Amino acid sequence: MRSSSPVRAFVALATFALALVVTLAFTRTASAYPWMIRHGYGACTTCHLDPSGAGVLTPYGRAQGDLLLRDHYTKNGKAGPEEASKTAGFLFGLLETPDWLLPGGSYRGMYLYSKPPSPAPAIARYVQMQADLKIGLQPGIFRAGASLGYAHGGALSASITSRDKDNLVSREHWIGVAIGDAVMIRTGRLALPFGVRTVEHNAFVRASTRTDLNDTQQYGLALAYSDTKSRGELMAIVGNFALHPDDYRERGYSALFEYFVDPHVGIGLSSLRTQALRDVTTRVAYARQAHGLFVRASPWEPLVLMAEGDWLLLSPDGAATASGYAGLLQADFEVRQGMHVMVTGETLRPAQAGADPSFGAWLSLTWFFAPHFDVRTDFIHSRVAAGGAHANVESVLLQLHAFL
Amino acid sequence: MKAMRSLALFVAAFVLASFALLAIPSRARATPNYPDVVAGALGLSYTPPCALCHVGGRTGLGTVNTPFGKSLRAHGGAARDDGSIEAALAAMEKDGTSSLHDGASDVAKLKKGQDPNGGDASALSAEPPAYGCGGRIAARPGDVSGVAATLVVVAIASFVRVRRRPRIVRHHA
Amino acid sequence: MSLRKTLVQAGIPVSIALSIAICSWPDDGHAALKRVGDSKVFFFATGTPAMKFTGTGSDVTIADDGKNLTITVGLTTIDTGMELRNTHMRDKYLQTAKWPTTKLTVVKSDLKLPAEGAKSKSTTTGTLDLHGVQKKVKVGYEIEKRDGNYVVRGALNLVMTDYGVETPGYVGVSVDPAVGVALTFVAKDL
Repeated sequence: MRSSSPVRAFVALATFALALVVTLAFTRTASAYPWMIRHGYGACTTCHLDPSGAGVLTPYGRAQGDLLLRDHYTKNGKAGPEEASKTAGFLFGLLETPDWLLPGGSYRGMYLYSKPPSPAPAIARYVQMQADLKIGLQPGIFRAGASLGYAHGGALSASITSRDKDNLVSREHWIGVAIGDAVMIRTGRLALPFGVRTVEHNAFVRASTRTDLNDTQQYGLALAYSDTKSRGELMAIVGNFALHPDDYRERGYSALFEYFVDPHVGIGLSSLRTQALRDVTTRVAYARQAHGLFVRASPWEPLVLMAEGDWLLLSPDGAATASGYAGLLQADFEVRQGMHVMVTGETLRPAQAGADPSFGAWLSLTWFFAPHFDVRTDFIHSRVAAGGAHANVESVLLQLHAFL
Repeated sequence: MKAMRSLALFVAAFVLASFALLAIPSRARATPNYPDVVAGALGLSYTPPCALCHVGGRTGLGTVNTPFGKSLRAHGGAARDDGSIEAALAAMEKDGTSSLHDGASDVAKLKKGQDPNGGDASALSAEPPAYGCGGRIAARPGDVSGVAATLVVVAIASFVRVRRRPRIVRHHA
Repeated sequence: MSLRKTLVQAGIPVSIALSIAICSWPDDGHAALKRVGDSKVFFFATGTPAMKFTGTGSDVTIADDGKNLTITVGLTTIDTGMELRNTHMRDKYLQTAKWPTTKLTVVKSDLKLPAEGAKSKSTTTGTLDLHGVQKKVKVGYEIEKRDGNYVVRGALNLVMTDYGVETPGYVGVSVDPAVGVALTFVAKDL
């Protein structure tokens, strides 16, 4: 991993390109594990190139992923005193890359079964959520990150091709500079800094604020700060250039700040305000806001509690401002290293006059069963507000995630 | 021993979940594109927004509750059945349904690019959103050109609430 | 958690907090101090970029010769939550095979003793013996006398390189040489 030979760098890039072609033969979300605060990793920059988390891993992040994330099939699943496995590297360690080159990739597939109330038919289908290749660069003070993937359906807001289906997607692409160890300035397409950066892109808090890791990234300029006591990022948003005409693009800002009361306890604030001349669905001008609080706490290593509450405001042109809220409460219990049982409760009342709240309850099981692999099952009960009544929807998700 | 039991339980949960899923026959489902159905049935030169039928433009169960959406349902329009929507539109055209009871039929309004729910006509016939590369940032009156300047202006503008509601700027010819 | 809170409330920088609890006893020195119950030792370290971790242990002994109080902490059993990091800490940096303990010695008469039900809070200077190097250190402490027992908490800061300990690093992440250790225990006059 430590070679800086130009020949090896070339081989790494060539292999990355080849892997891209192979992966494109297959493809919505990125990985972020905010519960790593259980190990004192509240800030994201230790393990990720992105100062607010997710995306390509640094060499240290890869090592910690191997030592702290996966099941080592020991008594408690923890790693022994040995160095991180060579398989933690890119392509299972088959290819050594210099420290300034951070290649990666991620495939996430899901089998979905969802049972809406009768007489609506049940849905059972395979969904290719993500098939992305990623690259990060960090020579000297220069920083850059990009992803390129294939999406059979969905992720239109991240598309770089213009088909109804089967698009090339780039969820992020940015360049920046690091000022010292604590500050980074970036510009490009970035995930919005807001709330807990969870992998569950369809969680009410992420979907309602449009701050997920799937396809709601926007273009802009961001200033990030991260030290051992706090982290934060402020982003000026100039719109999503994958969406046009320009009237539909949002302008505004998104920001978060998290203070670590303790290595294992973080309390954060988020704020977002954007406006556009046309809403994608209503086609009227609007301004939207979301302001909230979030907490991550690990009172005991196996347990991490995460909570987020957001106040939503929507001001459509010609109508009064409506308010709503979204909330998330999640407990992640690591039964043994690599095996997680998560219980999640969530609620959403959209910022819309007369809207009723919806509720969701999740029971999730995740197992990081091998280097670069994890499987996850979610059992979800949703009570969805619909036209003055509530409908119960039951869903089961079975996911396989592999990363390079 | 305890660890092994946890492991076994965990594996069993996965296996059970997998079998439960595999036992369920897959059913392919095309995503319905109702605005296109409406545009096609009425020969519109534009694609109406979801908000024509769905309150606030938010789709999903129980949201077809705009005046026009209710009329469509009353005429037999049903989810996942394009034919029923086309038939309902034909029936509404025939009986001259006016959801707002203002004497002008909904279909006639749609053909003239007007909103049968009484909303902003320009919103109804606005160019629909498209995705992918090819878009560019349009200069707006009063903006200083250039992305860098836009970044600064937007960042500042975001913090300064000049008006209670967003401004609609018509800048396309 | 309570110790973490205490350190934060005391305004001790996590990055450079080394705390050692000192117990107190009567000024006339006729009573020797003996630890009773459990004890805990913590250390806090930070790294670049934006990393922090803690180590915990419970191997604490107290020796009272009538003039000085010596607190000895075993370094071989301190756990940082990751076996590999423990190994690195013990073998590569602290070199516990050669120096398995660290000792803090304070002059008994410099310490303030609270009365039953009261608390005393102060600082004193002691000598820390770590990695074969002895240096004077400033020690903050808080003692509460409860049911005849002294509940002791304390804190002090050190810089590892001052004691000849190499600055730890691992695949691009380095640990700040300024670290902290905290210790708490309950003691009783004999």
